[in-house]
Amino acid sequence: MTGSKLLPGYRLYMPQLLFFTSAIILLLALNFSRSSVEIKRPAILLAGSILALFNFEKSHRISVITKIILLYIIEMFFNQLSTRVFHIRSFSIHLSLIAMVPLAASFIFSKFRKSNFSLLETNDLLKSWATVFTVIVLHMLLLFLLLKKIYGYGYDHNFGVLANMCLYFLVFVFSWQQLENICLRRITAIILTAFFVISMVMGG
Amino acid sequence: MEYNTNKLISDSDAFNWRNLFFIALAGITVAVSALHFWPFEDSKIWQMLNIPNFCCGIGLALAVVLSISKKYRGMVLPYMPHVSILAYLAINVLSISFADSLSRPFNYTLKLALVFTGGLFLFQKALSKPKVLNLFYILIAIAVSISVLACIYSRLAFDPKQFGFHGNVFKYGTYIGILVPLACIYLFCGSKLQVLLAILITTAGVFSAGTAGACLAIFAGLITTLVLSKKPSTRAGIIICLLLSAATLFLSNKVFDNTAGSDFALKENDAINLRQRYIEWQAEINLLEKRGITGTGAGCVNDYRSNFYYRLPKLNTLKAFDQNGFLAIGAETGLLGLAAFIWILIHYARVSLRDCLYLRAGENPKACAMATANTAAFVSALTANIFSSVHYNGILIVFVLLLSLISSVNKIYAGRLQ
Repeated sequence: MTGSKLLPGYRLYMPQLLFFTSAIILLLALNFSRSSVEIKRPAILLAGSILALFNFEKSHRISVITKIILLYIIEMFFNQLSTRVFHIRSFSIHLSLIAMVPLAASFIFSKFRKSNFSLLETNDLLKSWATVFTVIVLHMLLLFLLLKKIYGYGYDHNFGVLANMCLYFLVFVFSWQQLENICLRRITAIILTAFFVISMVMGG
Repeated sequence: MEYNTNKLISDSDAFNWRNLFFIALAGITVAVSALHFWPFEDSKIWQMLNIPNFCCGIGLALAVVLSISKKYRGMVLPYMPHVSILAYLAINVLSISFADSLSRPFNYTLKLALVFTGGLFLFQKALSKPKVLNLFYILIAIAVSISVLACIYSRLAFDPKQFGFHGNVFKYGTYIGILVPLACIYLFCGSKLQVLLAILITTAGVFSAGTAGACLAIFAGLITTLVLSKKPSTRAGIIICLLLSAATLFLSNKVFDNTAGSDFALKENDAINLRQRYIEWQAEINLLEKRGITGTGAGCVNDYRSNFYYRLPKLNTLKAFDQNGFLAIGAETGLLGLAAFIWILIHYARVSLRDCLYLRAGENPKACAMATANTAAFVSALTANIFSSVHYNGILIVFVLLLSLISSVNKIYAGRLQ
């Protein structure tokens, strides 16, 4: 893996940092004007972002909780974009995919460090993708059996739920182990805090 | 008989007034859980501050006070909830950002935090001795017997749709669905009288159940024990129990106007259209499409669900709480909330299953029976959660009690396998 270490011991690489930060900024920029699900109490999310600013390395539990808070907020912004589509001539692209590209790039430039989340094997790229596809296929199979066979009258809507599940799962894979990096976690928390403060000031 | 217990726990915590206080408080919580919200069922304040919730509140307050003091901090740390529980609570708090009203999700999250932290601390602190553990399994058997007897009496004497102290069929089903296997499988390793009692409680539980979820939960627990148990006498007892329970189920259908049978059939009253349960499930899946991460806010699924039906039932046979616990958590707290809840389940399932395989019946029959009972009750809780929810107010305490039992058996007998 090429790239320079910013801080010794943190294993943060410049391309990883740039792509991850740009993914977060792009995500927030796309969400700035409107959101599909209204945030009724942004103060709670702001409090979560502020909590993630502090270093809780001595307490493993709180450290994991701050990671989960940040993951929740990032996934929430992807949720807001999941129904929005961007049209270019005859092509239409989901806005969530636009934000996903730099996030995926940052994941590729990271060191694929072993995650504490034991449900997911992310030691190397091949195993990560094998896990992702296995879970997605299992989701599809389960939903098919549940909705087609047990429901009897078929699936009412479309496979949007399944597509969204895949999207959120990919966001989880791309961001979870990167959020183990304290420096990256703090940068994300600062950006999110600033976003919520600005949106609260402008909205209020 | 001398038990091979974990020295770390048993030697450092000698019996004193503090331990007795925790044991008494936890005992009251377990015993009173059988009465549910009786005698003030309609009081909203009582529904929040009933005796079990109140005891959990005392447990939480004591945990906070003790953890502040440097002298007693060491007493609290071993009983802190697992990180998966904290993660689940954190996601519940975050989900409040998206709820329409503040009071409902706030109360719901407060109740969750109270039971998951205060209740867990209270039970684990009380259940730190082998003798107390034994006592609590007996107490659970008494509590569930009271609940089952009250239900049978009210269904036979008054109204077949009146389910004793619990009133609601789904709440009652979840309560006995978890506790009947827990108590009975423990009793199976005791004297002949205890085995007879276990068979009686199980068959009475199936007779009174009235829902597919409750019956399936009890059967799932029994079958799990049949697979896990290595003792031929226990296996024989379970087979007798299964046969008698199946026969009782047919009898129950005759006596109570096919209540359980119609729930098994999963059809509306005209026998052509599907029961509304599936429309509820479908609505929650539809909801996940738009609110996959945000959810509706903790405890707020009823405010939004009707917007996602997309088709309406022909006959309105909807019953309250006719839901799937997993889907309801997903719909309320999003897929991350559901993932955190599954994380809790995976953690405790692993601990319980490892205890089951680690503890040998020949060396320590009581400990082995406890580990098997915990694992069977855990499978029962998962089964019950498909047709109802372990999150109902007044029922969550039973689920947390089960988690505490798993944790305590592991700490005392299996030497902190966690």
